[in-house]
Amino acid sequence: MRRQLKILEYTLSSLWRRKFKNLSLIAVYSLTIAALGSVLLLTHALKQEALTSLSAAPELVVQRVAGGRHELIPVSYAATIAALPGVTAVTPRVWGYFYDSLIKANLTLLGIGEEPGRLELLDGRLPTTEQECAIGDGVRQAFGPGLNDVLVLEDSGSRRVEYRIVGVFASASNLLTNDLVVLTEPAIRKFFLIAPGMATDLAVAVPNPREIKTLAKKIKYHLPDTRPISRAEILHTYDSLFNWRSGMLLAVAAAALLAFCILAWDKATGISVEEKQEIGILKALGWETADVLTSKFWEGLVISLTAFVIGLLAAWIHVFLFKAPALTPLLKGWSVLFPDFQLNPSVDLYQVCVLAFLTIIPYLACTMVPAWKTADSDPEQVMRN
Amino acid sequence: MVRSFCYFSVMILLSALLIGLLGYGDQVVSAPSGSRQQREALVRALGLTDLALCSEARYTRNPTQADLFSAFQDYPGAFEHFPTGAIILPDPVGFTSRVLFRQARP
Amino acid sequence: MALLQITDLNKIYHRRRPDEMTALADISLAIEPGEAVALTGPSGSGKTTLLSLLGCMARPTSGNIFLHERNIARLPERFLARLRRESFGFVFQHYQLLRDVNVLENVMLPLYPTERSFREMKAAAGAVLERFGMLSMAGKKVKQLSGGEQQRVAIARALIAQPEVIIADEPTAHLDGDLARELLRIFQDLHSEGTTLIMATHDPLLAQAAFVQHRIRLRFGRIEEDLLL
Repeated sequence: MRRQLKILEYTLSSLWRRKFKNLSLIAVYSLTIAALGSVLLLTHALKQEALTSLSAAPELVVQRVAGGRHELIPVSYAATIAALPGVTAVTPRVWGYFYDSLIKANLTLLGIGEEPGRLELLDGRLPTTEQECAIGDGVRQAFGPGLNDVLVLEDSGSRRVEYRIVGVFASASNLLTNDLVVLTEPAIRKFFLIAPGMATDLAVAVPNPREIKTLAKKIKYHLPDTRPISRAEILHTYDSLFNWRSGMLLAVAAAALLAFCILAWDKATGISVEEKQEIGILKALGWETADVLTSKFWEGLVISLTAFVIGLLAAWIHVFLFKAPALTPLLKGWSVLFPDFQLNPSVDLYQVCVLAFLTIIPYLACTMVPAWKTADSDPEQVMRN
Repeated sequence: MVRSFCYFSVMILLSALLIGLLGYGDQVVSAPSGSRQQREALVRALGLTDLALCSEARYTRNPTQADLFSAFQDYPGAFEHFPTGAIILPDPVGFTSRVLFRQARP
Repeated sequence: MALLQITDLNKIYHRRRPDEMTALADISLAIEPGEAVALTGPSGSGKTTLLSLLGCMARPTSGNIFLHERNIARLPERFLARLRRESFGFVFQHYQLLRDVNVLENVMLPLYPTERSFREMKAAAGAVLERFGMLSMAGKKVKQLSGGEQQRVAIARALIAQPEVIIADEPTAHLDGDLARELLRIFQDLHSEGTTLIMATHDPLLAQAAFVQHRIRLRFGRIEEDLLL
C-alpha cells in the first residue's frame, strides 16, 4: 500500500511537471464525456418521463386504416368493440392537427366529451361550451393571449373562429400539453368538419392488462380495416424512440470520442524519447517493470477518472439544472412550439457504468500498453537507444 | 505526500457530489410524487397517447399513432423533417398492429 | 572470497542479424570487497557494456556473474531490479538525471520502490545532499545546475541506498580540472569508507590515482591487462 502511494506521488509529480498538457487533456476529455453523458442523461430522463406519464394512456386505441393511410373511424364500430368481453368502455376521440400560418406552428386540437373533473395541472377549467377552449402553455406563449382572453383560429372552412380561453395548462405539464388546444367535441367537429358519425379513433378501456393483446386480435378479426394500438406498444415506442433519437446524437458524440481516442493512441503509441529515457533511468535505479507499469496505470487512471467524474458532473448540471441548452436544438428539429420542461433527474446507473467503462479502460490501455515494451526491456538497452 | 493528499481530497469531494446528485435523482424518481400523479390524471382525463415534444409533423408529434407510411405524406416533394424524422422508424409501433388476419381468433 | 566474479562472459548485440556485434568476449575477472577498480581502454572496447553487466542493467549472452558467490546472470527481472536498488549505485556518463525534476526528488528516486516511508526517503536524501554541500539546492531543478553540481547530485543519488558497490562510467568526462580533482577526492573518501568502486575512465587522473588497487584494460571486447596494484 505504501509503495502504491509513493508511486502515485511520483506519478502526480510527473503529471504536474507537464501541467499545461495534462490539464488540457483532462479538459478536452471531460468535454467529450460531458457531451456523451448529456445525451445519455437527457434521453433516459425523457424516456422515464414518457413511461411514467403515459402509463395512464388508454389501454387500447383503435384507428381505421384505408389504403394504408389513417382514416376517420365510424362511431358505430364502438358498439362492436364494446360487445367484446373484457371491454368496459369505448370512447370516440375527436382530435387533429392544425397549422397556424401566423406563428407557423402545428397545434394539436383535442375534443373532450363530458367534463372529467378538476385537474390540478390546469389553471382555470376545461371548456364546457363551443365558444370556449383550454390551451397549453406553448400556445399561450406563441399567440400571446392568456386566461379569459380570446384565441382566434381559422377552421377547415376558412372561417375565422374565436374561442374564449377558460383554462391554461400549467408549465409542469408542458411535455404533455405544450401545443394543445382543448375544445368541446361539438366545437372540434365543427372546426374540422367531421360528421357526427365519425371519429378520429376510439379509446378502449380494458381493466385487465392480460386481456389487452387478445382483445386487440379480436378487434382486428371483427373489424379488419382497423389498427389497434395498445398502451404497451405506446410505451414500447417511447422506449425505443429515444434510443433511436439518442442514437443520432450518440453517433455524433461517439465520433468525437473516437477521434479523441485516435489522438490519445497516437500520443501513447509514439512514446516519446523523454518518456523512454525516464523509464530507462527508473529501471536503472532499481524500479521493477511492475513499478513502472504501476506508474503508467496511475497516470492513465488519474487522467481518465478525473475526466469522467468532471464530465459526468458537468453533464448532470447541464441536463438537469440548465435544461440541456446544447442538446435541445438537436431534439427540437423543425418544431416551432418546443416545450420548456424540467425533467426529473432520473439516471440509469447501468448506462453510467458503461460510460465509465468505455472512457476509463481504453485510456488506461492507451497509456500502459505502449510503455510495456520499454518497461520490460533491459535498462541498458533503453538508455542506449 | 502532499500531492496524493490533494488529489484524493479533490476526487473524494467531486465523487461525493456526483454520488449525491445521482442518489438524489434516484430518490426523487422512486418516491411517490404528487406531480407525477397529477400528470397521470391529466393523461387519463384527456386520453393522451404521446409527449408534445416534436410538433413539426404528424408522425413526429404522435409517433405512436402514426400511419405506417407517414413520412413524406405531407407533400409529395416535401423534404424530410431532419433531424427528427430521419431517426424515427417508419413503423415505430410493434406487434399488435401487424397481426395477420388468419392468426386472429374470434 | 571475491565480491564480484565473472567467468567466460560474452555479450553479443543483434545476434543472428547482419549487424551482429560482439561487445565482450571471454571475460573473466574477480573484484574483492572494498577494492577500487579502474577500467580503461579505447572507445568501443566494451567498458560501458561490462559496467552494465556488472550493475545488472543488461543480461550476458553467455557466461556467469557471481555476487557473493551467487550467480546473478540469469535472475528474473525483479531480482535484478532489487540488486540495482540495494547493492549497486550507478553514476552514468551523462548523469541521467530527470532534468525537469528538482534535486531532492532526483536523489529520492531509487527509494520509491522500497518500504521506506516518504518522510524517511526525504530525510535520507537530505542527509546525502548535505554531505556533498548540495542541500541548499534541493528545491532547484536539475537543468538549472552546472555540470559539476549535476555530477554531485548523480553521486548522491547513487549513494542514497548505501550500496556496497559504486559503478561509475566516465565520471570526469564532462568536468574541468578542478571539478575532476574534487570528484577524485569524493571517490577517495568513499573508498576509505569501504565502498567497492568500479570506474570506467579515459582520464589518467582517475586511472592512475593512488587509491586504485586494480586496473583492467580492455581492447576489442577482451581483457588485455588485469593488474593488481
